[in-house]
Amino acid sequence: MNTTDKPETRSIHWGPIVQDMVILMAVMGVLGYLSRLVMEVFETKAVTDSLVSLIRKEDVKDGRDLPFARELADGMEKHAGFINTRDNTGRTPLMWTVYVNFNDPVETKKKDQTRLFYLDALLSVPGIRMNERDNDGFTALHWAAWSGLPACTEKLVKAGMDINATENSGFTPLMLAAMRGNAETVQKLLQLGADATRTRANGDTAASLAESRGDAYHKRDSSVYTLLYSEHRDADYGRVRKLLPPSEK
Amino acid sequence: MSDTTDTTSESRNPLVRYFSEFGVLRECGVNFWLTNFIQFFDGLAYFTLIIVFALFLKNYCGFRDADAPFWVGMYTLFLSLFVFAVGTICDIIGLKRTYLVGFSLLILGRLILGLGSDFGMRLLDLSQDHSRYIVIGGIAIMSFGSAFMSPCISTSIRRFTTLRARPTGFNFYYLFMNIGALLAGVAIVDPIRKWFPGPDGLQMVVNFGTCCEIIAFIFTRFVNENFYAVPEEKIATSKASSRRPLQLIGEVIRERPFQKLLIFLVLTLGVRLVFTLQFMIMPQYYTRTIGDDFQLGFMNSLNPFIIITGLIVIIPVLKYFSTVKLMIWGMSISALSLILMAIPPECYFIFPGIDTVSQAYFVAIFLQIIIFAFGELLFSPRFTEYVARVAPKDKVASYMSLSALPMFIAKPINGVVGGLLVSYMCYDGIAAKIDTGHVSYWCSPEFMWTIYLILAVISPLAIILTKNMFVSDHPEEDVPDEDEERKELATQELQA
Repeated sequence: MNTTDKPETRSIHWGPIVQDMVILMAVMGVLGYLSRLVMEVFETKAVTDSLVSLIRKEDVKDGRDLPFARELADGMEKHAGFINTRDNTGRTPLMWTVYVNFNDPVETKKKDQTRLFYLDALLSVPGIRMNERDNDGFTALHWAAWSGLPACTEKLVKAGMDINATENSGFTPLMLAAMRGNAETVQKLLQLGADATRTRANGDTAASLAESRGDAYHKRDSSVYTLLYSEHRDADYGRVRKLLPPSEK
Repeated sequence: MSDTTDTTSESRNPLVRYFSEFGVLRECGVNFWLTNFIQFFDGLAYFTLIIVFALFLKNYCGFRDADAPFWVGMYTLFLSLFVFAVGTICDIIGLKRTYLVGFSLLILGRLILGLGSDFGMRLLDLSQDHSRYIVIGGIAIMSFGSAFMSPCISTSIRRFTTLRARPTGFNFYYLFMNIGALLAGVAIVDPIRKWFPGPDGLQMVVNFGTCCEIIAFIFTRFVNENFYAVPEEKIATSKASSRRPLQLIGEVIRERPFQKLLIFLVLTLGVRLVFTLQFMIMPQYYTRTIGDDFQLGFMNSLNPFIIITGLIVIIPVLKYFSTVKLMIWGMSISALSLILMAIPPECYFIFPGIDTVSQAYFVAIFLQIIIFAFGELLFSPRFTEYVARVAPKDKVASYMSLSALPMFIAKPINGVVGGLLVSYMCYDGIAAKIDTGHVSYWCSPEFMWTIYLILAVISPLAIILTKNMFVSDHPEEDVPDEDEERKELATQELQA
């Protein structure tokens, strides 16, 4: 039924195999290069891409991030206004530093602490423009509030950012934090003097946004979808609603 | 995928019927099981990597939005290309040596991929831009190593199974591979990303895969490559001609069935390109619309779950239906599943329990994956079978390997287009802009999916319109001197 005899030895002619592989690789290389060339025309690049990527990697060891420090120093040396460079969405490295997108508040809190290191580093760069806005009018404070980073929010406000700045659709940082159920950030903004009575053109206030979003999560968490997915944010929205004056909307 | 139903039981229960088939594997020796363990760990490494690959390149190695999908595309391209070139090597240099070369390259490539970025920046003092070249080198070496695996494992399964057990052997191999894919998502990627959120978790996943490759490599050392379950095949193997890829192209390019096949392959390109998006741009789409802690592994495990269920319950039934009709149905279902992601998320608010955009995105993604996988289940096995049926009996393997040609050209282009679409319509931070109403439909991820929807829908439409011209229910009628049994066996092996 079976055998364990040694197979016959076969001579290998590597030459033609290697030749074919080289030809195929050359064809693919040219194709890849041409595709890449076409891509270059449309690609969105900013000189700060590497710096932003290092910030988001958060590789702080022994209180230092050497690649980040080197990138920052090199960038400042090579490009005038490096630190205020806007990418295709209009965001500066400062805005990227205070942006995270986690549903889990515990994870967001950890990020808040790590990002402080980078925020301190950027705020100490001479010539950094604090109140830059992206293409939709977001300031760094809007990003920090939306992301739910209370420590970074505090640092930005204390560094002189406008706490009640509105972006192009009329949202203040407090509204964004409330809408996302970021209870600690709402609390911090209120402590720092944010105006909770500000209203958007359609009548939305921080409280009404928290209510509608909180209700949505509550409804979802009591339906069959919870079996698939849930962030269990009811408690967070509950805290936000307690912090804000009742909505009249 | 194989639809062989060598029923050894009279049971009407598809589950019992399917698993009773595996009884025949008792006659396969220890080498067969070793091969399955090798492929399981190699598969685990591959699937864990491919789930997070684009995110790892972007978030850990600092590739740009447009670059990450491009290099994932190039990886899959290199992999197919090298398979094309090294496919016959294991018959020539022997299984163990092929495993040795393959795993050495694979492990080296993976180490460079996983550690190259940090090594470049921290030890060589390179900038992030420059350390990316180290990572690209790792990708190239890894893809070369990976290319050895698939032909080598197929050869092993064939060699270590008797003729009677072979179709079941390949079925088992395919089932085991999908179980690996299922576990890769829910049991590996999600827990690791939960323990190590952010870019560090992605690196952990890549390094976990490297460990799996090392385990698989250790298993290869126990394989007895001189064992042949069918002794006659030893002689056949030693006499088999090992034609080179370019030689193959020269031989078949003028044949009428091959020309028709090429047109058919180009027609199906739209929907087959969408299959590759699952790893190129969907990870960014998921994490950017829903959040970085999105359960990427769970979502990616739905596909193998559907495939495993389908293998057991659906595929045995499908053999009674027309191949072309099933392909059209499969393509149409897969293509149209993109509608779920192409419509504005607000459309989902009519359903109870969906009141926010992120909830709508989650449901859209979940349903799309389920429906898409079902379409793929109908399409993929019939597609492979169709290619095998078009081929003359002595050229099944040649036609099968050359059928990858149109994808070679399409993959880098797809990577470029996917990368650019992501950078414009699904950039990082878009969730905040969706929340605040700044994203119009024309700049939204939904429009990106509309573009892919149009591309995908072209395929079934083209097949319907050209039916009887380039595609027929009986392509074998164009092929003289048919030998069904031999072709079927070759098809089963190649499908696996």
